[in-house]
Amino acid sequence: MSDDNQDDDAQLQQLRAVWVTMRDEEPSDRGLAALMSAARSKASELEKAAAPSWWQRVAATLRRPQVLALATVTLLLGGALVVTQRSSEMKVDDARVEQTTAPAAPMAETQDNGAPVGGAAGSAASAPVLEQDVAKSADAVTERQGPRDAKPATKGRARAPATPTQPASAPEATGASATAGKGSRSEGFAGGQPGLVIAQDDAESAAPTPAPKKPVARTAPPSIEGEDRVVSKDAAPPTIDQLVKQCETAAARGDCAAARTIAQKILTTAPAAYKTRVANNATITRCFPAASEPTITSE
Amino acid sequence: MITDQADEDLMVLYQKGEVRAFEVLLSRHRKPVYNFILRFVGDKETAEDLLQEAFMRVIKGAEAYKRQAKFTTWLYTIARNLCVDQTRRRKHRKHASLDAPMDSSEESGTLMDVIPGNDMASDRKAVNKQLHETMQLAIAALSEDQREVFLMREFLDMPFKQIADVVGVPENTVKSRMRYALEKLRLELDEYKDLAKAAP
Repeated sequence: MSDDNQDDDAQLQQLRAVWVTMRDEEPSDRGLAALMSAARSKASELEKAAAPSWWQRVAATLRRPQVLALATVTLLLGGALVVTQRSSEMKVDDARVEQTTAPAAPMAETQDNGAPVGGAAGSAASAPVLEQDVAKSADAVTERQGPRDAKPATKGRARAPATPTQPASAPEATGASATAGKGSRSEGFAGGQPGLVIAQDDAESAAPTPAPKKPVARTAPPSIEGEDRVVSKDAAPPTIDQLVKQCETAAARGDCAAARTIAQKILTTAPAAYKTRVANNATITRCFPAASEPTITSE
Repeated sequence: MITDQADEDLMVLYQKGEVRAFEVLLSRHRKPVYNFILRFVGDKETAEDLLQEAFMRVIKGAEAYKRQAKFTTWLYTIARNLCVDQTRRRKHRKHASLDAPMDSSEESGTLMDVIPGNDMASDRKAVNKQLHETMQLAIAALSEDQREVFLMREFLDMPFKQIADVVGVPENTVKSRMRYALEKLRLELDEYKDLAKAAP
């Protein structure tokens, strides 16, 4: 206050001395008890109001720096984990894409070289898939050897969600005549699932109609190099009906070598069926000049 | 220790239900607030009533108190508003009479007693009493605006800034009112300056 009183003159200082000496009076205790009583009751109210509810305590706890730091670290670690997993998945998917988009020529070559039994199994398709899944495809091969069950099976797979244990399909796609993907549709990354493949083994359906754009399970069977042999070893022998069908298809395709091989197998397995269904089949017999007609061998 | 804590901290404690904090606040401010009110309204009984009402308002408004505000500013704002209301009510009711006692106590004299007469008291006690009563009259003669500023400044030793906060006017206005108040008091008390010299 001294700074404010710099302009005070002596007379004012003298006056101030008058009221400075005026003594303060003491208030009486009247009403003091009532005042304290009111203060106590209010204090109890305030105490209740000041007690935080459970959610306020939780919120206060969460706002503490330690908790915030822990949450941040957890979030960062979780994010890093997710990114790492995602990255490794992307690498695997890239590898699959590379394999599935590999040129058809080598596959055709492979299929021509190896194309044993079942190779033409009514499918001109060659579904390029991972070799690592070949072993899982045995069951699927068995399943597909039923009469004309290939197409529904393919559809079923296409609709089914991708599960690692799901049986693979389309081993027969390695047909010797597999005219380099004539009936195949590789659905690279369809549906956001890279590496998914549709192996459409029905040549007829493959022709003009676009293949269904539904992804097949990641475990789609491999039909790349070496697959046929693996499948042939593990799979059950094809039925006569299938062999006849395959033979007919191969002959129709002009692949007489395959047709003869299959016909030979039919003849060995079921001579009666050969006579009735192969020898009388004009499509097949075109591949059999008189000299090269199969005969029963001792194999 | 709770008695060493600042007013604002005590008020926060009271907000959490600590009654002892309010007791400390009451013991700390009861007397100065009472004297401020007493000098403002000039009546002991009214001053006690207003004192109680002021602290009642503190209790009721405890929840609304914010730690950022200075407690004394808040308290004296309440007290000042009560005094202003009281003086306005009294203005409508009656005008001060020269024959009326200055307060309700029997010892208090009338305004006539303190107006200087021919027979000046000779003893020191009488001089002091007369001087103080004259001073009280001079304060009562100030306008309401000047009086509250004068009381807070000279008796409560408040800075102009805080007075401005309590009264709700700019600081320069407060200084101006203070200047006018002192000028008026000087004129009122000019004829008693010799008496003031005689005072202890």
